Amino acid sequence: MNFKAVVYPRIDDKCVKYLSEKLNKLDFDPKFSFIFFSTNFYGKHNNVLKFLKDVIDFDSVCFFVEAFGDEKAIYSSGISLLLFDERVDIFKTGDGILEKELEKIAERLRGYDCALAVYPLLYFPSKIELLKGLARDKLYTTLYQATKRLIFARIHSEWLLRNRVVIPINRVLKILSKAGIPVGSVNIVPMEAKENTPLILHNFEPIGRNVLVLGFKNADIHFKDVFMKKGKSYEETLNVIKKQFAAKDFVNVKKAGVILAEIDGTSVKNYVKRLRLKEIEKGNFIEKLEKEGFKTVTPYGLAFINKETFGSASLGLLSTPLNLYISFFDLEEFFGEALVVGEVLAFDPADFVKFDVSPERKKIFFVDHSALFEYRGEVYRIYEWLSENQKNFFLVFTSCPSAFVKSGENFLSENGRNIYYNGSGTTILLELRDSEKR
Amino acid sequence: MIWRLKEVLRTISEDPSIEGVIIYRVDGVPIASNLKENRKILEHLYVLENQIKTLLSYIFNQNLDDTSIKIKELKVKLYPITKTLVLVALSNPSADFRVELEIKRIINELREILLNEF
Amino acid sequence: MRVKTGVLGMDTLLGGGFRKNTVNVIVGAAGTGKTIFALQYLLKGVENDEKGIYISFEVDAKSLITLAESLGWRQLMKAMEDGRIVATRSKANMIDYINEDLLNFIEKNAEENTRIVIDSLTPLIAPIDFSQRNDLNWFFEQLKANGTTLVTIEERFTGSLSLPEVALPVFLADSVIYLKNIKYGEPFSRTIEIIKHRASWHAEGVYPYRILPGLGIVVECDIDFKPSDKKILEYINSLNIPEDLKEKLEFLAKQVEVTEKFIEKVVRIYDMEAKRSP
Repeated sequence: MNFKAVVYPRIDDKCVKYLSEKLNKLDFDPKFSFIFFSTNFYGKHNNVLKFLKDVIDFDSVCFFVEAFGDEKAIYSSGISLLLFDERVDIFKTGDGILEKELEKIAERLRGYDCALAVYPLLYFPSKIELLKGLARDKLYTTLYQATKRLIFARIHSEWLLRNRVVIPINRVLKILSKAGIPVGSVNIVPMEAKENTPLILHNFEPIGRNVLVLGFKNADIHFKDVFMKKGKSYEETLNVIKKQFAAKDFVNVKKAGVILAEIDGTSVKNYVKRLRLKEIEKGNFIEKLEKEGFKTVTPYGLAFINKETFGSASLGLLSTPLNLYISFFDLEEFFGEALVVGEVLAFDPADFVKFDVSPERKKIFFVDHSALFEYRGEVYRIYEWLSENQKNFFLVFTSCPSAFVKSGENFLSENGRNIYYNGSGTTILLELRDSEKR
Repeated sequence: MIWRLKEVLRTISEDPSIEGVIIYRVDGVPIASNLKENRKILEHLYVLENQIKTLLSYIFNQNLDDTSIKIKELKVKLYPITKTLVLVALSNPSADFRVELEIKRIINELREILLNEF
Repeated sequence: MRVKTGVLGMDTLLGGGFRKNTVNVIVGAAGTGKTIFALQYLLKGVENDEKGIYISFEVDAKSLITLAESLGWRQLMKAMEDGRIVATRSKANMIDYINEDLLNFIEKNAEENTRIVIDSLTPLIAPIDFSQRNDLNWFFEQLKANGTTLVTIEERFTGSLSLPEVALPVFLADSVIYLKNIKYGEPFSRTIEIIKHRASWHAEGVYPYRILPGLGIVVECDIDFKPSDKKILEYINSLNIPEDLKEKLEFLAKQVEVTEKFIEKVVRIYDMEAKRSP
């Protein structure tokens, strides 16, 4: 299996002409394509999409990323097409109960070599839905605070899950892991969230709050994170976290499902004020969502330790109008104490892509986009390292790439048996093998 | 060569948070530039011109990767391109990671043009 | 009718070349290529069948021939041998005392379309001060009467162009070309800049140049010097503005490339000022 990348690194009206020329000059018939738009293309992308829809007669999966890169550069604006020469089978969840839908897909994945799940991790709905959600938050907060009973947080969590407002990484990976093959998870939260984002398209139709699973033959999924290895016990991992991050506070949390109800006896909304994050009220929040986008990256996180593996996952602490804070992973599997952490104590950005893989094979790195926020221009070190040490690569920056892989490497981000995810610092690699002779 | 350099500069200066980009030689002579029509920039440029030689010698003598200064509401970042040429990017403080990434990208492009055509 | 410089790329930057019967100054530090520029200027004259006069206060004809030989300019060497180029090493050493011999020599050898080179003027005028401006001006006038002159001036180590022996010729000359070499051997280490070009358009900014055997100085002048599109002229014609302004804009558009946006801006400024005046 092979792919060819077509990149147009600008947002202007010459894009369509350029893509047209390139597509006409192809020396093979593509069978599948990834289409990556930069997030700042959002709102101006319709013309290009319309053009692609007219000319592309093979399967495609399209979403927005913070940046992408090829063998020439890293680009933060524009569009790229990855055109594959072999078919990729795509499964999509339906309207039923998400877990059941995913189980059906897991069954169908046997026989493939690996899979890649693409879905909205956290869905930002329309203004009306958002107002409803905020009203619910207020109701359940009131109930919780009056009774201090976590059942209300749980009910709210179940509602969020049923309505697929959040599709937790660990739940998705646990179910898909039943296929017995490596599964990568491209779970999308835009760095600047707007109404009805993230937008993910399958054959140019929005998938909404569904999960797409791509089955690959002749390919492998690898995972790594950039942190020190996890400890063998709770205390050991706690020490690792303190060394790795600028730990600010050790706190007690009250949680249920995907809801974080309290940090040290107070709501997250109040707690983040101590971190000097600027407070944001409901009106302001909605305005941001409608206009420039609500920033989902933050320098602060809550590092949880997993009860089973003693790995760790960090949940970013943002200032929101929500009292019952939403997590992108199921918090049940974690201890009730956590560390509030700040910046990561330095590593080389190139660590994100230092996999032990052959330069000869085609590969796509999905790198955690908070590296862009953390390292800014220095992120270019990733490209520099790849130029010297690798070939045939493509780079995509997206949110919290995660995976189910049999790694044995004791990554800090192992938060389930062979299940890896974290709020930052992770990369998954999709490596294409040569096609077997038929 | 100059028009190719200017074309690269033009693409980066289209970003709304960039006020302008200038390639300076180590002795303070501007080689190529693309500046937005903004009167306020002119007074900052005047300050910059007076400081540029000092900043440039600092970069080259100390082998710095880049230098950044802030003049009122303008962020001025200097990136060496070759041993004798530096890219100066004038931007709003709100310029985000994208701008820095793009600048790194065009420095590579500029280097290629300069070294291949020489 | 312009006098071509003979330096590849230079005429574009000068809007066609030097103007006839002018004094044109080349300023540069040692090793920037002033003498080579001067020789190329004379070589062009040879190619156009024009007389050349080379005056130096330090270099003699023999050294000149050696230099021409090193660059592969046999034509130039031949022209010096057969008198199409006359060279002299003058002894005048103060501007006050420009001896009759020097000017007589020029007048005697000048023909129509003569190219005169003084390489360099610095030894003659080195102790000059600003009060002797008139003397230098008179000298330049004599040169203009006899041909189109190229004068080279040495830039001192201090790099200061404000010393009178540099500043005065710069003020009085019709055009001034500045050669700079920062000696790193990198792109843009050698650059040429037109500081002044009276009564003519010239390119702005610095341009890289190289010195190559056979070609001499080659300037990378990748500007497309062309007049405006016909559409712009039609646009100007369609504007409801006074005739004199229209005429000026048309003159501009025929010389240089301008955009509609720029024309609009000029008209806006004109209108604004017209409203303000009583």
